Amino acid sequence: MVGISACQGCSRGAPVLDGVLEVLECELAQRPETVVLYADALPEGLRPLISIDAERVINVGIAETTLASLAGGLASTGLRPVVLGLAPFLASRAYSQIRQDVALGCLGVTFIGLAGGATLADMGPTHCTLDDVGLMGLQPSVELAVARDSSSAAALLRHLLAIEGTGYLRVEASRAGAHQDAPFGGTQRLRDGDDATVIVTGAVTSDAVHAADELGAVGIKTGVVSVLKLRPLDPEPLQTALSAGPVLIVEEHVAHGGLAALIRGALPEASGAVIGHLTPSAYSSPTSFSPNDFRVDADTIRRGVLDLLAHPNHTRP
Amino acid sequence: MAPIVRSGAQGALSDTVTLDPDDLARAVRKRVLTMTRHDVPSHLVSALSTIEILAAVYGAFVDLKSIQRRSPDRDRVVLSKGHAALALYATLVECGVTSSDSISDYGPGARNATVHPLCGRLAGVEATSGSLGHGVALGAGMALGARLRSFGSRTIVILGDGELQEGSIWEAALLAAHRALSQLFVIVDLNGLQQTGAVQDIAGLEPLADKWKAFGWHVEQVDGHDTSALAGALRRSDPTPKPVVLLARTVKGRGVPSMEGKDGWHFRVPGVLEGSARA
Repeated sequence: MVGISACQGCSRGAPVLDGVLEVLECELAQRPETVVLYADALPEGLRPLISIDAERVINVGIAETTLASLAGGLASTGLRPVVLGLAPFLASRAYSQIRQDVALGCLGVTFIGLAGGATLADMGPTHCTLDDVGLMGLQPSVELAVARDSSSAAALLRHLLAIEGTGYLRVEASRAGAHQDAPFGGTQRLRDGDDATVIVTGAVTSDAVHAADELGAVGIKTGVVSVLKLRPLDPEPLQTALSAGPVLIVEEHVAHGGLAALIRGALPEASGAVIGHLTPSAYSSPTSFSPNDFRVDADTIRRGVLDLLAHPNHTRP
Repeated sequence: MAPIVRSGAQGALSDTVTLDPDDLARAVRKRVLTMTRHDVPSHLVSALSTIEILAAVYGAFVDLKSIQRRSPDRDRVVLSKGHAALALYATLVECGVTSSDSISDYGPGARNATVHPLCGRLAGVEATSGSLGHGVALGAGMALGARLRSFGSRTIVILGDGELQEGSIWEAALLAAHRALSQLFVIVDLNGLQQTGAVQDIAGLEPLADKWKAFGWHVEQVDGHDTSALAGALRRSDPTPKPVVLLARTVKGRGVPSMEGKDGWHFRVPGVLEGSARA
């Protein structure tokens, strides 16, 4: 099920936004310095915000560069802006403004990239976002997070609003069978298994869990580690996974600047581990415009684990 | 070289700071020329065209004490044409907001007085600038924030004229007028030249006043080297319900006859400053 509708008239359900809405409603009610900005693209699930406070929920129009600079200016007066932007357009359109007017000054601004990853793949490649984490991560001061469901979106947003500096949260559509019950942490082990481990971020996590369960049914014990905070990374669960056996990193993001790149950059032990990296096939076939080429699904993950186990550098115990 | 405003024992400005903007401009120009180094891409001519604008703003319009103290409700000056940082630093020293020691590291690798401004380092440097076209939206955010927080403070943004070719300026101009940000003042340093030639030959701006009016702004046209005219236009515009833009006609390289209004000096620093700077 696609969970975020970005356009007026689209009504495809928005469970993942429930967490965002809950936190922002609370923030607006309790913290007078909170200001919510958006560039005319507000999913149905977040429309209740408009009626909360007309002064502090501000539509800047279809103007992402103004959106980012305005947030920097507001933050410099002591306000706490939360910027809601469609992920396909936010970082790519306003990168210079995010860099110069917010991140270089480490200002307290939280950017939320809505409808990230393949959420809007049905609308074509212009609306797919496979590069937002990498773009935002180019600024070393920016904390990075990717929600996998409604509860993690809420927890991550609360965390980013509590830090002094700049944060980015990617929000994607929830998928069927999303895991809402695990306690919040930067990194969580959702399945145990030491034949292989899938390290995964985003809504595709539920597909990874499904794939691990299928592999387990045929005797391949596959662990699943869910990464919610991509910078700073929580190293311990990742180090454990990397030392245990082959690892498949799964993300709906290009290789540059995504989860795999951040892990390789932060953890030296990653260089010696057997690592596979699964990203949407659109990345390797740039002329492809099929929506499915921008997604990773459970079957692809299952096959990815099997391919990894067949890797000549891997010897199963 | 002693600044024209001397701070108190703890470096604090006295309660009654009064400045003659013309005196301030003369002192700033002298300091700018003194600070210019051959190994620094100082954008000297761009700094020289902006000096009277800065002198009018700091000498006759903003509250210096709140700027020095970094009070949340201070007036804020955004130098969007960040390549004129040299003039900003010299102004902040001459009006007593910061010390000459604090900008003594001016140049590559500086912590405080970076070649293009970095906010948070020095009192009075309110914005990081260098990439052009950001100032109006950033200033609009400051003005909107001041309104939301009931500060009553003003935000002044200084733009170059070539910078008006950036589309983001007009995107933000639209919003500032829509939101009636009357405490936002933009001053355009219309020196007519940009890096590779005359503005009118590259992407002309005229009729510029009509364009700003069409976007819903209150427009004043002034001599950008006449501090009285600049200060008068700022004060006169203060109560208007619209955001304000001053179109300030200037001369690039003002004060050094061999560079005045001449193309080709954007990055250059003369080997020997020909002639003495006009006071």
